[in-house]
Amino acid sequence: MRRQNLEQETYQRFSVLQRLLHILIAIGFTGLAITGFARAFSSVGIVRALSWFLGGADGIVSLHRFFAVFTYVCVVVHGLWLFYFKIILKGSLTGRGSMLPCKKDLETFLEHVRYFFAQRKEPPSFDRFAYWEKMDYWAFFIGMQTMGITGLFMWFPEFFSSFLPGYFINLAQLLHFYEALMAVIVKMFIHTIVVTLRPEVYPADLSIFTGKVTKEEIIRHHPGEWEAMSASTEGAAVVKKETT
Amino acid sequence: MDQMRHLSYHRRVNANRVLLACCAFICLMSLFVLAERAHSEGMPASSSSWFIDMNRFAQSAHAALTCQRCHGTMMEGMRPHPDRQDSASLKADPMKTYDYGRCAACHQQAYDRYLRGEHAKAMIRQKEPKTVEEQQAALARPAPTCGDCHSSHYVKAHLSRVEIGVQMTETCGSCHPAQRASYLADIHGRTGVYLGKPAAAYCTDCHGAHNCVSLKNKEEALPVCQRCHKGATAGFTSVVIHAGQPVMTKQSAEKQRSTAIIQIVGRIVKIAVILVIAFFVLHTFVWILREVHRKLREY
Repeated sequence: MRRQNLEQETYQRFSVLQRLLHILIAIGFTGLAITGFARAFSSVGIVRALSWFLGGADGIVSLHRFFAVFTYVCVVVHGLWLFYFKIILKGSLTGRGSMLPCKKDLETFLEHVRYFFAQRKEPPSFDRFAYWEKMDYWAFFIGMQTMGITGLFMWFPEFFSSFLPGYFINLAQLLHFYEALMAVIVKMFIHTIVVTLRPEVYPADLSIFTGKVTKEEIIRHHPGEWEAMSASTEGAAVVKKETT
Repeated sequence: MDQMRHLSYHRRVNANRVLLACCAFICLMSLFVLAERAHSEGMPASSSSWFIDMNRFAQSAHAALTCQRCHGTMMEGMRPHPDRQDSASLKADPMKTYDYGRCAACHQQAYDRYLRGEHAKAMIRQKEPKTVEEQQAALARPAPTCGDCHSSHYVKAHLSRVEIGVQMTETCGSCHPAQRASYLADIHGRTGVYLGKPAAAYCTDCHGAHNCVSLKNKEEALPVCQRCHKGATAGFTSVVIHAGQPVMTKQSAEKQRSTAIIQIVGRIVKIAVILVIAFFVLHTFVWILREVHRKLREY
């Protein structure tokens, strides 16, 4: 009730490209998970029904490789955009608003844990990207590289075994499977719960789809960012003000 | 009032539809399960005994043959068959007394390959055991002849490649269970047996149908890999297919090392995955609890 008194000023948190890539990656990731697990758990009867629906053994492999290339292209586009942002737009990829992990993340993490156990009254002062958001981002970014490499090992075993020991193919299968299991649990359950069911954002934090956050949300969830924005105009480089 | 009745009617219709959809879903799923069961029941039964089920024999690949074609005249050694005087004859294992050389009359190529293959060599070794252990092994697991793998009376003709492949996984696996398990865990077994891809490799595609070679050295294995993997080089043969199998790894130091590395990495990765997931689950759970607590305090 009290919130309605605050002015509903909104700020842009995610650009159009970031929002689009998030949706595309979510689609690609889900496709990868379904086709990959349909293959990995093919010894289970119900999963075989799914794999029959997806076009049998060949269909699953083709779909899985399609989604893999599709998702990796999204990662490449994001990387190219970072270069464009840095070199052409002369933007800053470091500082308080950046995705790069820093010492403050560890501190805010420890403070957050203290807050969990009521050793603090308020959550720590998160910057534009809190430590768990950075973890989500880097887990995916690094995970895509390792999944890509192990995936290529299985896609072209003849080529890779010509200069590497044969058991690398077996290791690739092992790592690909366990990393997929981890990624699916962390992304599809943990990430989804954190951005939807958490009381602070319930029913959902839709800023990744709308791109907008209200002033109140910034103050509540990213106080460090708000401080930086109001302290100097430096914050304007990363947070463009948008009038509504 | 009228409107309410109208609404409840619609609700009932909708409930009926949902119920119908659920039932249809369950029926479909049970059909799938039944189809799977039926699919896996196509295994050969105990192949040969003195008693032949003529109904099943009539449907087999050998149905066109008369008994005499394989069993000769019914006067074995001038004694009528069955011999009512000699009760012991029926107690002997027919698979051990039958002369499988007669199969060669039609299946000459398969028979020649069998004679050159590992199973025949094992039989020769077993006939003259050098140690007590070998003798015991020969008694416990006698080397197979035709009848041990093929059901002469009930073998089905015109099976698809996948059906034959699924059957042979069970047949070979009854003596080589570790190989069967590791094959089914491997990508060849999963695509071949579970996903039913005809182009996948089954037991005999690598090891040969009747020679049954174990492909221990690389020179032997490479052309076998190259049948499907055209660009394979010598390094490709050291990809472990039957992983985690102590019987086989004993014979090759390289394979032993590879298997050990795979096992150790597998254990480390499992622990790491469990730790990561445990961290995130706990972190999220406590976080949500704390925020619920904070919200309750605020209001």
